[in-house]
Amino acid sequence: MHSLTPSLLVDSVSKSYGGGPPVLKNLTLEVHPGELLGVIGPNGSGKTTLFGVIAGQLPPNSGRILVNGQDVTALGASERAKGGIGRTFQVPQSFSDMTVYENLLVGARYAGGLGKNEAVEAVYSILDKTGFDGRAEMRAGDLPLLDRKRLELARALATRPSLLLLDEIAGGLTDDEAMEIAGLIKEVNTQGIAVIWIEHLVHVLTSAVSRIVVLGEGKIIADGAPQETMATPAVRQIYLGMEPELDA
Amino acid sequence: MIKRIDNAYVTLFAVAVVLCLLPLVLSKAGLVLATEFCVVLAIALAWNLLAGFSGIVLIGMPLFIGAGGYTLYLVANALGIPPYPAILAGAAVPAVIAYALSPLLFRLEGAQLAIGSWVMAEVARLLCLITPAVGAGGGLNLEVLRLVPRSLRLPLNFAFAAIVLFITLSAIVILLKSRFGLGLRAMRDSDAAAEAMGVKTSRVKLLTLITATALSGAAGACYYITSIQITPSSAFSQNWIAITIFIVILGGIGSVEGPIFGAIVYYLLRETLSDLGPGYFVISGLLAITVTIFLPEGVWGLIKRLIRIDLLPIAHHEARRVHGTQPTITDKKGKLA
Ligand SMILES: Nc1ncnc2c1ncn2[C@@H]1O[C@H](COP(=O)(O)OP(=O)(O)OP(=O)(O)O)[C@@H](O)[C@H]1O
Ligand SMILES: [Mg+2]
Repeated sequence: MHSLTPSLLVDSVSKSYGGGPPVLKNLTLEVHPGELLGVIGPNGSGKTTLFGVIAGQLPPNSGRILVNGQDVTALGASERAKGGIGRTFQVPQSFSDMTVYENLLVGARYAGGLGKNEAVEAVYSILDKTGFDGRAEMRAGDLPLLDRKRLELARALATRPSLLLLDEIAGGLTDDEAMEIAGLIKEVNTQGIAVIWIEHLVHVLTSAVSRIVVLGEGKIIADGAPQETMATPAVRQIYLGMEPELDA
Repeated sequence: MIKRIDNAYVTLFAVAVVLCLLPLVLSKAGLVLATEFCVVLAIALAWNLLAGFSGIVLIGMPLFIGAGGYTLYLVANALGIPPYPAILAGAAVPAVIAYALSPLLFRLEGAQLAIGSWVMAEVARLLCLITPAVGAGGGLNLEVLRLVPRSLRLPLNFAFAAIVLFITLSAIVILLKSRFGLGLRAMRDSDAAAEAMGVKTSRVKLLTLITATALSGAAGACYYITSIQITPSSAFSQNWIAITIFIVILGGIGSVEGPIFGAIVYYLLRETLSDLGPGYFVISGLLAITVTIFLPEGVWGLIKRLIRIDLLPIAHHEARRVHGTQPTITDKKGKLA
């Protein structure tokens, strides 16, 4: 499986904001087709920045982004969304004046490239899966915060991604709720969508993912199977006394 | 299965009927006023599409209104044809100007864009003032109007203004109901998220700008047919934008119906209170302030709250609870994405 073209290759990417210090330092990361990858790291280690660079919101200072072997570094965020990268935002960015249903419809019609009727069907099925059944006509801005996080996930799914980037969608949830979301993410993953999942809830991640990448100050400090990765000295040092949760 | 007729089409039809009836019931003076009303409302609708839906607060809108007027004069006079067909050119040229200026305009944001576009309108005025080919300070006369029999001028002026208004309203409604409207409304709420959903926001903004400036140009062209003469100071006057903002804010920015009600209130006020002289301005000023503070959604927002109706709905609705079938459980499985 690993001999296939990677779903995503982050190739020697560096990124700094304005003239500031580098937030990502010559970072290289490979994600294989169908992989479910967890990403952890302390606050400010560059996780969200990495997503911005992958999804095209943030241009890197150097390095390349390859999706299914194609260099997308020069493409804007909307083109990458059409090319199969779906993402959620750590701070929900719902289309607050639109309904839940319309929020999903945007992704299905644009990035998903679906015609009117197909889009409607796809949206219905995602609404049901993500627990918005019956609340589709609610104004997104009127949803409580946790539901807006869930809407982030639903909306990203509506874009029909081949690579899904999830930025702390389970933050603030109870353990049961987090496990439910984890189940949903695993289900999505088994349908062939590669997933990168940033989450501070380490135990939720380790239960769901097959590989964990630990970011520290813009570099990958550990990468591998969950248990082993969490046991490496560098990771233990960061997370010492902070287990099981670092939820901000 | 009975399909409900969309309110938007009912309303558009009603507007068309009213516009057709007006010439039959109005006096000459009334028809002159109705012509101006159509022009001003079309401009307000177009400006609201920009400011209320895409966040492009184009204070320099008179640039495109004036360009529409000037184009009509130049084209009709040069070809020696009656002015009406030249309205098309009056729409096309402002759109081309907008396209050419768009890289510059879209580099600006918010207040910068507001002021920057205003400066552009000023520059256009000054350029016309010093360009003999467009009559410099003295402006141009619409000589070809003599090709139109005197008795037909008033009805034709109205007819074309009404057509431009109807096209403007229909175009905006159809645009907003389409996929494009989804992208536009998404962009209004979050630029970054819209991009992440595949909406190319720069393209959406450009298309909105071109549509709005073409429509305003056509409206401007209609207006200057009625005035027989065009000068730089009238064509690019900031008066245009003052009235437009007043109407859009009063009626309710960001809704399609808002400008319609704003324009109605504006003309009612103006026609009943203009005898008061300065008092009229004081009253309209106070009204604008009151609405801004207490009715941020404008007159239409208030009406909508009271009678809960959508005259020109543009939203998309989940339809399976109303008609259509509920997918079965097995349907749902494996259908994701
Ligand atoms: N828009 C921005 N402008 C300037 N600096 C930024 C910006 N966004 C992030 N940073 C900085 O870049 C660094 C990495 O931020 P980033 O949001 O990527 O971290 P993170 O790992 O996602 O953190 P968290 O766990 O808190 O979400 C931080 O030092 C942050 O202050
Ligand atoms: Mg983050």
